Amino acid sequence: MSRTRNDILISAFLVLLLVWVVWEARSWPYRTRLFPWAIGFPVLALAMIQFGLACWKAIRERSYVDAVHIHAEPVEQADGGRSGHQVRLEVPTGKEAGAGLDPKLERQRTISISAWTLAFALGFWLFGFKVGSLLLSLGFLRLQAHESWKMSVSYGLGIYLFFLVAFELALGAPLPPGVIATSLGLQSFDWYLVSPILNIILGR
Amino acid sequence: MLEAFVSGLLDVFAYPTFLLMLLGIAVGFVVGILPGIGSPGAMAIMLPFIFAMKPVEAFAFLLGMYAVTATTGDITSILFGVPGEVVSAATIIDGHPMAKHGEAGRALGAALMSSLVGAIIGAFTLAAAIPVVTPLVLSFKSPEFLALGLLGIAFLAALSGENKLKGVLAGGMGLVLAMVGLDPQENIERYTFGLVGLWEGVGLVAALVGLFAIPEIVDLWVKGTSIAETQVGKLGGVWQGIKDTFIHLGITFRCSMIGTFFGLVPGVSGALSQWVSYGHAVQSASDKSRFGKGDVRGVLGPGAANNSGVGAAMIPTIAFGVPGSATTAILLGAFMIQGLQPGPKILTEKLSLIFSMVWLIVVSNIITVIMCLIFLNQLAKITLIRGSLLIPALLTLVFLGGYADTNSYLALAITLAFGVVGLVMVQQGWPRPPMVLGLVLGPLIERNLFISYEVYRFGFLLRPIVLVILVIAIAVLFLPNIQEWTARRNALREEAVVANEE
Repeated sequence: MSRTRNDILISAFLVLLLVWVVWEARSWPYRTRLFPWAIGFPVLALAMIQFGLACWKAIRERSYVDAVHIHAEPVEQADGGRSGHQVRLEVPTGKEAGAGLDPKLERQRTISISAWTLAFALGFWLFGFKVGSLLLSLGFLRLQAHESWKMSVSYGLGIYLFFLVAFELALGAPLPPGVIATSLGLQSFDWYLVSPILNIILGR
Repeated sequence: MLEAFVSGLLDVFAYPTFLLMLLGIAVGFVVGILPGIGSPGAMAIMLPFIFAMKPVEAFAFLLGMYAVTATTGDITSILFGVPGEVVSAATIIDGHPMAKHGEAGRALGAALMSSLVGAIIGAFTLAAAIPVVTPLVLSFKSPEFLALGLLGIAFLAALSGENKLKGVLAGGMGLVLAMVGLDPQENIERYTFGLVGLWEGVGLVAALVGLFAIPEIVDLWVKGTSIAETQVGKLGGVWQGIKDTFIHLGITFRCSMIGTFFGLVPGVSGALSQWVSYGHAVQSASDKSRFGKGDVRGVLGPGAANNSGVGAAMIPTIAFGVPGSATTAILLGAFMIQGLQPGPKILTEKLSLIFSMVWLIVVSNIITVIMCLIFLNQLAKITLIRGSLLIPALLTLVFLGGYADTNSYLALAITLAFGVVGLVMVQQGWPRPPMVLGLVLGPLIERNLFISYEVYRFGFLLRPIVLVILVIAIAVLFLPNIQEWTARRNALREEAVVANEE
């Protein structure tokens, strides 16, 4: 049922979104409106059909008894006792069983990696790509993947050096320092440490 | 044309094209061997790196990667029974039993050499097709290209199996997303919420990496660790496998042709051609007793078919802008990033580039096979890498890719948003390739629609080729359903007749 319910929600969202898409275009000149309407109306019609189908599927699934398959198979007792019937109920879950992975664990892992994905995006926004990738790789490998300090630090430094060498030194394309440094009127945080070292190495 | 053919070859070996191809091959090795990161996801992640490249360099990098993923995917299929790529699944049936019987090296040798033969046949089919399709493409006008764009979405939607409506809807949503930004005719803002960062559109790379790479990263983490829990022993007998390819050259050649045919037809994926090829290998054999238990012919067939489809699949993509798979749809995105439009212009003005692509497929496959043969034992060790170690690097590349597209932090949010959309689509069984194609083809379809309407008004819909293409698009979508419905009705009628007779 959950998948069907989600399908209803998604289809309803698409219907509303497409209504907005075609409604928004009404005041535009025809040259601007042509494509949004030529595509928007047919796609809206399809979304409405999809919504209708999802609702129809949900109504059918609501008759729970119909959805439960009762299998009665004759069995004989191994000890020679009275024979009888083994009754097996098959209830459709709306989702195929995973390949041996506990659904609870699967959900936990999905939530944790989604949170880390969000953290990476936020980290890059706040600290920029060089410092952000160093901190977040270190954080992910230590806190989430439980890697050793040696592996985590060397990995984080490896990614940092990749950005430094590939983008700043080789391509000459400085990466953004992140909104914190920018709002404070500073260079990227690593610049204060790395720049003097680079000056010595490069003889500047 | 001969001049372009030769100059295409020379371009492949020029600096830095050749080095970039080697880099692409190296990435393709890892992607192909590691299950969890498919070639569409990897291709999407690597797109930002082509911004600063010339077209031939960009395609050297991308095609080098694309061409080897199917080949290297066979390695895990044979050694561990886990396909590195979807197109490598059929290799398991006989390849993995061969490995269990101590013939892993022979199976790998056969898979690699048949892949090379297949790739060469597919690539030269692409070369041979150019003079044939060019006059056809040149006779097309805007209405035909508009219809072809819609046909492409129909083909990819048809891949969605039972969820075809979802496929078409996803394609339509891709077209809607392509409307975001300043409209090309009047420069009026469309669906931008007043954000200047959206004036140029949603950002193709941000959308692609979000849709394809983020769900794969989530999947990589959810599924857990590396695929190989034990070290692989020394792999011997590789040369025997290579010899097998030539002993059974008939099967290798015929399966290459099957793969080429499937590659030419958009929407018929390589995932299907490998099974048809396997079926052909079984059917054409006089002694079928060893199939499923470790027959080398069962490895040669799918191996050849997978790689021959790569070159062939480029024909509809380049000539008509109709890609047949998620990977070629992303490759079409690379054309757009490079400012190249598939169709008449590329076939006439960039012929040398197309022949470079032919040579890139051939050369990268030759290099792949040589590298595999030399470093086979070391390559097998890649499977020991834990998924958790890949995730930080992948996430960094994903967001960097999104950012590099527009140089705006808004791209991080767009990448994230498309990641959520991609995850929901995967979990709810909504196909992503039609959405990508809608997004990629949106600007082209809009331009062709505008020109067609300006010139012909609604009369463009009655042009004969447009009608034929639209009928094909409808047939692609509905014919399987009509056939299924007819079969079901006939079955019910027969049941009723039997019941009446009783």
